[in-house]
Amino acid sequence: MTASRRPKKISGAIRRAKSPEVLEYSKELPHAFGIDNAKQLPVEQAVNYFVPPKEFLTLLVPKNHILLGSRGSGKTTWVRALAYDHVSLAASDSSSHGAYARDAIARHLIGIYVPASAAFTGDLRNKPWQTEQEAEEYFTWRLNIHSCAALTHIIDACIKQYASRDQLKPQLQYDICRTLSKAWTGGKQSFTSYEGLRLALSELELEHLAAIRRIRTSSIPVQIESDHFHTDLFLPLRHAIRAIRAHLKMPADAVWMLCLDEVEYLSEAHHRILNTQLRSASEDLVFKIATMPFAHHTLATNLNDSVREGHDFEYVYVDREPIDSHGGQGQDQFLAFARSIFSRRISHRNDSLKGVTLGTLLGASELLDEKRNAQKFDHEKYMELLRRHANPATVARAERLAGTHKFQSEIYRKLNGALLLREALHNATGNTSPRIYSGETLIVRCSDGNPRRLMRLINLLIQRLEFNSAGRPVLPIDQGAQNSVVESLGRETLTRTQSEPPYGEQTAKYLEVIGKYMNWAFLARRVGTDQTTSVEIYEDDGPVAQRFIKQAIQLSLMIPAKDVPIKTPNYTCTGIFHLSFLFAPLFGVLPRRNRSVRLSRVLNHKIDGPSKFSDIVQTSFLEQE
Amino acid sequence: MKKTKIALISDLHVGVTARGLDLCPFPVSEDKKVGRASDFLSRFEAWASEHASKPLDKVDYLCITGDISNTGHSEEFALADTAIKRIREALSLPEERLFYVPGNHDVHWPVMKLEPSHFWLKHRYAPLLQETLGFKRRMRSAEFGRFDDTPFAVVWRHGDLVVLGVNTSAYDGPQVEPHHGLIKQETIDQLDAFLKTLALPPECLRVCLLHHHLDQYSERLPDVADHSIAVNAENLVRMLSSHRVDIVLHGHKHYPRLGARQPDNQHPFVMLCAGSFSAVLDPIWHEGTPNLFHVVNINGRDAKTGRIFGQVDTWSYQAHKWQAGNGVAGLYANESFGSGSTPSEVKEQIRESLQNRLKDSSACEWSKIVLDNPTLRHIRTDVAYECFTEVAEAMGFEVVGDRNTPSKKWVAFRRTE
Repeated sequence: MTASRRPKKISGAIRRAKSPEVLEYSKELPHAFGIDNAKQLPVEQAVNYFVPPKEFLTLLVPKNHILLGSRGSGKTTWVRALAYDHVSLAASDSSSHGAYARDAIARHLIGIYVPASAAFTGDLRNKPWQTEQEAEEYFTWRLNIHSCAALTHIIDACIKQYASRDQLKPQLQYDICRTLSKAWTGGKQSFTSYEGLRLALSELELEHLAAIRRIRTSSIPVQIESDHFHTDLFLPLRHAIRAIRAHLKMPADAVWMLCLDEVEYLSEAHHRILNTQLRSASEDLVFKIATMPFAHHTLATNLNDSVREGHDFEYVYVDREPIDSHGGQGQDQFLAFARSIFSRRISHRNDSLKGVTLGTLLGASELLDEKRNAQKFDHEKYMELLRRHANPATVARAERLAGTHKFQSEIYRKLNGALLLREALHNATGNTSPRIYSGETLIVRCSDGNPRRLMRLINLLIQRLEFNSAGRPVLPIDQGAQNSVVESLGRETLTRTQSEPPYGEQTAKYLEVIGKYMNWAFLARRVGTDQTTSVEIYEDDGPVAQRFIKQAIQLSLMIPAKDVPIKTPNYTCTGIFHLSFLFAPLFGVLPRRNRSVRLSRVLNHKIDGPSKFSDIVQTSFLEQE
Repeated sequence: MKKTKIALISDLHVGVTARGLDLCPFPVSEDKKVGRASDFLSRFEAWASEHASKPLDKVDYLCITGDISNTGHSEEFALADTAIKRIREALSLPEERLFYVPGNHDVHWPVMKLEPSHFWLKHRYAPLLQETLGFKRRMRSAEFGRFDDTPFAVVWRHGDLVVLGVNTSAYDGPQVEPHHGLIKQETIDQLDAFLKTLALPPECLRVCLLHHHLDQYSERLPDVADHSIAVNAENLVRMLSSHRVDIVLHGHKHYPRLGARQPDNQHPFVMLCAGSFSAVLDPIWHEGTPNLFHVVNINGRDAKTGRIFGQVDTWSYQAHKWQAGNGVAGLYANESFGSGSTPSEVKEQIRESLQNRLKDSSACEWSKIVLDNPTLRHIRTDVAYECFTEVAEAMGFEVVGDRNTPSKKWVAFRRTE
């Protein structure tokens, strides 16, 4: 694409944002990634798009696991990928992409994915008219129904895998469905299809709910009939599994994995019930339970004996680090993952985006791509930049080390990003935005290792594509457009945080204060080798700080250092926490990990002098409850 | 005849009884927010865009069959206008491809209670027909009629499509008990006279939109009376048939139905009652009926009978997401229409096919039967299933699959020991 060709915008492609906070999308160019929420993806797409990270493979053993991951980290994708219908489809891909699935099949691991739904979990909230026992029975009854409904989605895959040559598949389906429908409906109905079974369960559930409502609203006595699911937790599921095994020649060591999603919305009492299942080990049924950090609400069970990590279950951490221990993005890290998922999603397109890579879409990052910048290195210009923005001691040191190999490692690599950013912010006057927050490595880094955030960013960026007169996309996407998108997403995320229950308003305020402090710290002094990118929290910072940091971690807005445990329910969270890189463009800071400062100092800091931001924090948040 | 896809939504009830909080312009108390998403429209948009290459691709028109608002309030219509624009854009449709009729909830009852009534009656549609809203623009673009005054019906033309919109709620009001629809004879006569002036080509697709039902459907609680049926329905049906109307779309019931009418060897038409797109549906009264979205695929016209054929695709909104309808509300995910065959004729075709196919094989799918007899494609699911199982079982075979098995993947098989 030569500079002389003027790109033509596709008609209606870009609508001006009504305000910087909200972007409007082109309706003529579908999202590259379509749905970014794994819950809503059809099975075929979920399988096609899945890129199994190394940590996912640790789930392919017959053990109980509790998956901990912040919102958008990929928990649902992981537990869905374990479901046998997904595995069966993935295994049919003979390339290396299907290797994990073939492995699961070889080990006879049969996953059942039980999705959570807001209606289901919301409905389980304690009702004033229920006793504790009634609430527990209600939860058990509903989970029994939902787990059996989930089982119906994988029966066909089991038949395909385990039917012997002399068994007729339609006959197996017929017999299994008849057996289950008779058990589940007390003999009243008979179905020979999986959809029929699900319909029966759905109707059973609706009748029960309608009966409960009638009890509450009518003066006429209403009886709720006891059914197959008014029994111990997962007993109906175990019975159904036995019925399936009776018809299929499955190996004795086949293990069923019940994958429960979004259990953070369940109560502590519900977690106690689930822990009891973990504690009462069963050889052929294990659990994979997905929840958020700090949202495994209790280790207690109903057996007066708590579950023990390492004995009854293991924690698996889903969140990915966006950068490696050296502060870069190696090939085996999130960048490689991002390139993989982009490539998988694009490979199914037949439009002008076919064949485009993430790198060609976004280009190199001026701020982060050391190799690219090193190739264009101009010593004189660099020294000029240093003299403009760096402190005298650093300038003197640079002059001393000029021409030596130490210049690269101790000056250039450490300061280049900060200098470029200072220069860009300095040049972005008035209403013009900088263009520095752009490029593949930067955009991926601003996803904070969070796949959903990555997909949202790419969807928003794709909307900013321009096309030439031949209908081909102009690549890479304009740097200013990229900058604008990532900054707007940061702003929108911060705004949305305010409405996140239960402490969203507080959390958003803290994040804003932290971001502004970091911007001030970056601009207040000339550039040295240290920048403030993180906060430290200690026990004496109080309960408000605890509420903030735990919610921020759950929302992937603050990233805990590796040594900070995020699992224990009542744990006091202390240590170092990094501001999400997503906020780097919004607050004009470098997306890297460096120095940390105490949260209390940040919150009590008063910013003197001119600031990019109109709001100046005055009050001490630590005093607020 | 060109294939045509019509998206159909009905009974949005924008206001406090809408399913999504983003469809209510008024504050909602905390307890009433439980179970109601605040991004109902965004979820629809995301789902619709994901279906770009599937059934929602190239939808040609969007029809709305009334009860757009909940109380006829001006703010409800303003929000509905925005919501419908978003739905339209999610389907990549310009405004000129939107057609609608008002329902009984789209009349502003408070103004009808003011005195003198003959003065204020004229303003009962003012909130719906505000100048800045699409509802007014669309009504004005009609070739004939208006909703807010006689004839209380409109006619639009768009290429090979003619759409009649009849306002069956025009005479309903706070004093009318029981509330019901009504198509006055003068409305029918005026429509009839206008249609006679149009020289419509035979391939032209003719659609009629109403809010109220023309048939006395059985309720979910079947012994409970419903007096809200449109009065004078029979004469309207005759008039529609005489003008070769192909399909009637209506709402009001919040519970879908698909059927056919053929008065006295006249031109037959399909009748589809849409489910509610976005109203909160009480589980006691609606017994688990979900919110629904339909696409009517008109795939052709029988050269001999003139009857259109095709299928209705239905999606339901359950667990906060749109998914293929599973027949809970009586309409399966893909429901065929357009066959005039009787069960005897259908069974005969099935019997012949099964006999040939199962000579050397132990199993035969329904799809093979349809391959042998293409007209069976247009049979209603319930009829097809009953005939298939009856014939198969009489021949000593068993059938796996149920009525709501997607794509009618039924298989007749001979049991092996």
